[in-house]
Parts: sequence; structure tokens; C-alpha cells
Amino acid sequence: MTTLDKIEIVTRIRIPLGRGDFDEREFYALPSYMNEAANVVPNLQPGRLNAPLTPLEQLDDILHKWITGKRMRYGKWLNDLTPHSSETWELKTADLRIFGWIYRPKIFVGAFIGYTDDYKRQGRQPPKESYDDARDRVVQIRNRLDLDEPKFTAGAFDALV
Amino acid sequence: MPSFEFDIGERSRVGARFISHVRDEIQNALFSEKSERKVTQQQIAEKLDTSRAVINRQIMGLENMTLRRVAEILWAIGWEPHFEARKIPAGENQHRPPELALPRPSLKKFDPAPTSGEIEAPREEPAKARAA
Repeated sequence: MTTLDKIEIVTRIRIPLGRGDFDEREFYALPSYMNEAANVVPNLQPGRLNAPLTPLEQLDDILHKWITGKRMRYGKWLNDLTPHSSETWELKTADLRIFGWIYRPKIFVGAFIGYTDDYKRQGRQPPKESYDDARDRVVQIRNRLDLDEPKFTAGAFDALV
Repeated sequence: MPSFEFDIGERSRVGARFISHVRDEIQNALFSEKSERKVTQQQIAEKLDTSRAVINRQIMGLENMTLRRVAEILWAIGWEPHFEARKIPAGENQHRPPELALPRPSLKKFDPAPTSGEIEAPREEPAKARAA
């Protein structure tokens, strides 16, 4: 039986918690995510939105929000977390997109990290990657993972988050 | 399973998380007023003589807000900010380690003409004693 915690290439991500913070949700990462978090995100500059936090700080912020059980929003004008088709999900910051899926309620698996501007049209230039392509990549990665079924959990936003 | 602590450094972390905390508090207040009174960003913008786009960026955390603007946005929806500073407990701040946090008092009487051997250079031990 291969559950998520038995797979060697999966890493449990933790963050330094502040006083009064507790682990309320779990975050696991795959090798692509680990590589991007270590080697790519630290070198990224704030993108076209010119956010006050650096991408690295944004990553800490969204992980902190997820792991400590803060309210995640999904709505018309505020989106921390967006469900896509094929039960893939996206954690969002101003400059980052963390693509992955919900393994079990309150357990997110991060497959890889994208730079928001790469998913937006730059003038006449098309995006470097479409959201559909990112979603398909997540599905491929998930399918290749030697993980017992069900590999993901489907359901309503509030039930999973 | 391996685990990894993602640590961006204490200085970055405290700054970024405080900014995020303020943003989250404003968003929570606004969500509350939206559901209770149907307050809109346009109404807030009109009260503050600015555009809805500016208010939207500030509420979404896409702009560094001044303290004044934090108070003004909350005022515009009938809320107020509350802020307090508190000392970090000893040992929980990398710039205030435990040994520095609780210094031992070191009081010595100043004696302009010391007679004790307290400040004399240490004497060499006799060679015989070292060999033993």
C-alpha cells in the first residue's frame, strides 16, 4: 500500500510558526516544486502587479496561510485557492501560482510553481504556458506517481479546505 | 518521508507576515461588511476620494499601504484598526538569544587603586607542577 507519506520523492514542507500558530493543514511537495522553491523563486522579482512582497515572501505567506489553517478565499475578487477541472488546484499569490491537487481534505500536494506573468498575455505575445497546459502537467505528474487510488479527493471547496 | 523547513529568514518573515496580517484583517472586515451591508469597493473609493481600482489593489495587497490608508479604509466601512506592540519572549528572537535576554548583573565596585590580585596578569604555573 503506497500512501503519500511512503513515497520517497515527496517532501513534507514545514514553515517556522509564530506564537499562536499551529499546523492545521499539511503541504507536501514534489521534486519540481522543491527545485523551483530553492533555485527559481529566490531569484524572481515582483512581476507586473508590482506587489510589495517579493515572490519568496509571497511563497512563505501562502504556505503560512495554508498550513496554519487561515481562511482561504475563492471568490469574485479574491482568490487564494482556485479549483480547476480534473481536480487540480492552484494556490495563488500576486506573482506565483502553485499548481497541485488536494490529496485528502486539508492536504495539498504542490507539483510545481509557476510565475504569474508567464500565464498572462504580454502585449501581443501569448502566455508562456496556458492554465490548461499547467493543469494537464499536474494530471500527468499525478498519474505517474506510484500512489494508491484515490490519488486525489474531489468535493466542495469548504469540505476540502 | 523527508521533511523540509522553508525558512526565508526571520527579518523577511516578520515583515512580510505583518503586512499580510494587516491585509487579511482588512479583507475580513470588508467581507463582513459586504455580507451584512452590501458595502462595495466603489463606495469606499468615493468616501476616500480615490478610484475603485486603487482601493481594489490596496485591499488585495498589491500596494504597500500607509498606516493612514489602513485606518481610512477601515473607517470607511465602520471599523477601526487596533495595534499593539509586545516584547518577544526570551529565546524566540534570533537577535535576542537567551543568554543576552537574561543578563546577569555584573556590579563591581570601582577601586582606582586595587590592592587585590583581581586584575593582575595570571602567573605561570611552575614547570614542575605542569610536568606532574
